[in-house]
Amino acid sequence: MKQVLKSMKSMMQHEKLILLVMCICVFITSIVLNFAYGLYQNYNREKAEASIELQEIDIEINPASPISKAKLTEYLNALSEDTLISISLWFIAGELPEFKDTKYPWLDSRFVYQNGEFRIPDEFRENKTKFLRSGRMITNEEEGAGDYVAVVAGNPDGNGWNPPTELIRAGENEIKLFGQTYSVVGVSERGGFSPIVPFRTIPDDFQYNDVMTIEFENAVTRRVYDDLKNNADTILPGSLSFPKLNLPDEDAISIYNNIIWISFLISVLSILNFAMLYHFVLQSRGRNLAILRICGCTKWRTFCTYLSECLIVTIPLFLAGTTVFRWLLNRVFDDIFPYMSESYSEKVYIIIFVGYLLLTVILLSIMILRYLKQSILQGWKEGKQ
Amino acid sequence: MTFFKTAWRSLCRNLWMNVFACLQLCAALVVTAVMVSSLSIRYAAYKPFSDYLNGKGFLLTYGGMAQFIDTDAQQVRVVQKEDFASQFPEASGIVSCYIPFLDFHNSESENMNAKAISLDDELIKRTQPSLIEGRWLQTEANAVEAVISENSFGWNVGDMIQVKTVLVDKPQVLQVKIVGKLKEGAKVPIGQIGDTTDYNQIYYPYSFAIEQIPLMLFSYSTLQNTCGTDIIQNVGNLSFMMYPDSTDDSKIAEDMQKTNTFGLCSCTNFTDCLQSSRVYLKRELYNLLPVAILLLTLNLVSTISSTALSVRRRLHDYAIFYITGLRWKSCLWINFLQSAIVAILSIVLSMIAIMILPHIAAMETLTLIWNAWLVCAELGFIIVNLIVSIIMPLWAIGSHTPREILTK
Repeated sequence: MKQVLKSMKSMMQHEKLILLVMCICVFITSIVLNFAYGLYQNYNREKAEASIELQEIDIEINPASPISKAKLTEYLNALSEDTLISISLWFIAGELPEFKDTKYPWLDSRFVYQNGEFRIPDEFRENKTKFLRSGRMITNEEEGAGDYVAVVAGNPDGNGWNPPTELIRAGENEIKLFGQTYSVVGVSERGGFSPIVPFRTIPDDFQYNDVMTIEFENAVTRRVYDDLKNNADTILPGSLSFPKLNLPDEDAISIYNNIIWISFLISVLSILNFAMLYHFVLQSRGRNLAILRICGCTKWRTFCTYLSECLIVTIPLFLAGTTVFRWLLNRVFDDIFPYMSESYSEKVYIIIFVGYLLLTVILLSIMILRYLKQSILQGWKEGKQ
Repeated sequence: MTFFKTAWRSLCRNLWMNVFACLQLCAALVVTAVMVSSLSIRYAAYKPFSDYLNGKGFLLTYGGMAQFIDTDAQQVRVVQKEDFASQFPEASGIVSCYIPFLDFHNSESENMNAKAISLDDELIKRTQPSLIEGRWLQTEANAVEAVISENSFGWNVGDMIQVKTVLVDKPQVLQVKIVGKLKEGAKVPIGQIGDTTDYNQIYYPYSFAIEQIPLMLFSYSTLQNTCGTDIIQNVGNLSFMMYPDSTDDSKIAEDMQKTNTFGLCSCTNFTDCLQSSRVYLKRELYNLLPVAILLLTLNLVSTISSTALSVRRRLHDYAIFYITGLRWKSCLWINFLQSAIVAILSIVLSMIAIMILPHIAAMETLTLIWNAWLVCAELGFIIVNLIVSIIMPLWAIGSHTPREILTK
């Protein structure tokens, strides 16, 4: 340790410029590596979102002209089978009078309608099943048959059902909704407050007045879009406000791809920077190294001394850089890169730091061992230059 | 020449250091090129029509064909170029897309459904959509040629397709050669009616997977020269209406009102379009600014560190040169030459890398745009590098005597 501190003191006295440059380099490398990771995650997510946008249509329901369940069913039956087959999820929400004064008064209906049958969307079923506190999810048979079964939301504190659902409780495992008694088959941990019930059990006069989202297996085609829009204009005039058909933005994808590559290339550049600096530091220490070895210092001890010296400089500066980056992330980057901050966690920062540390140790070890392989005389001559 | 030889020898003596410096500079140049290309992607679509938008006039985008709605006769009639131009006598120029009335047939003479659009020569000259194969349309082609999108008919570059003009007294059968194939989602200058008022409404990203009908693009003038009066090419999709600078804005506004008689279309004054486009481009630039700033900082730090190291390394050599009679100024010149050699090698390497990278399978998603900005950015970076390589030794040499350097 004494030797390490002596070496550092010598560097501060004789190689001020190099030490300063090294410190700035490590500090900037820390910011760059953290930023590169966030940039990569942000633009990967942007690409994924751009792709999802092509597979989704969000339709506004005119509050002055809500859609009844009966009209919705008529609309579904008017669509071509090709259109219905291409749709992987229908989502539509309407205000539930029983839940009017709660935080979430909407009844969400999610279904797939193909070949004249209703069923639960597969992805929705999987997600819901994962977060069931007890019981099971509604089956496709129950959905298709219109059985009076329901999945309710559990109380956040872990006991029983959430307060709005308790208001419509009709028995130990029953709720009363739309004047009918539903048997509760499952209790979910997460999700909206309103119960999940089969679409066919909802009364024909129930008004959907919030939003409709249609998700597709693949990008929405012009034909399907026209089918949906034309039938909406005929059967539900004035009720649905269709957005423009989403078209691919190849320029945006090109930009995202370029930025992803930049995040990778700037990491490479900062590592090259770093490697060059340490190469010089070690080269200029050739003479010191030769003297140490003449005085009996073993290769292993020399190796540890140099490695420790570099790590003592590097670690605090990297941590300082990470701290500054976190500050920048919260104040500056969050507004410009919407998905950046959510890709970070304490674990991610630790992984980046450990990864950098490992890379530093490996790189330095290779360089130091290369120098240690030289004869004392060779090292002396190189260090004198 | 002596200085150059000395610089070269000194370079070879510190080979690894200079190889690192060269690689570092090359990486910095490549990253700069990728960054400038990212900034240029949006601008590349604006530039071809920026001169129109800076002038007087308006842009029309249609939901299909322009149609004269004759309310008295209660009918709709086609609008060809001359008819259309006669409605706007004050306009100094009209550049438009057209919808040629064509039927497509395969070799078995079966009718095939495709969307045909012809473009004025100006549109063909000013912009070229991304192609995956072949070439773009020519304005003075001898034969009728077309560029197609992806399709389910098996049409490819080099194929000859039979098309027939329709709704004319003497229909003509044309042999059309396919000369190019559009990339899926390529931005085609055929207009897009919608909410946007910026330059993006000039382009339509055509995807066969979404439209499910192939698109065929023709040259208006070639079709007209080949068929004469035996083809109808209805104005549609997109029109640029240019007016002399002296034209009163009220006259332009009056003409914009007239377009209500042409069916479903959207009108945007060039001034409004220009303003919206600038706002849009500024916003896009702003989103990339933090990346550009960080890149600049990193490049600067890497430049300073590599120059500091190389100067520090060469200081001993310069002390010896000084003792043997060379002035400090000459040492600076040798240092500059060394840096210049490294810079030139880096430029060559980076240019090779920039040309090769997009063709490597793993990096085919990389988009590089060669333009004046990229060249300026690269040159600018090299100049900064060379300036730093002059300043660093000035400071290092100036603050030490040869005796101090040699006895350290």
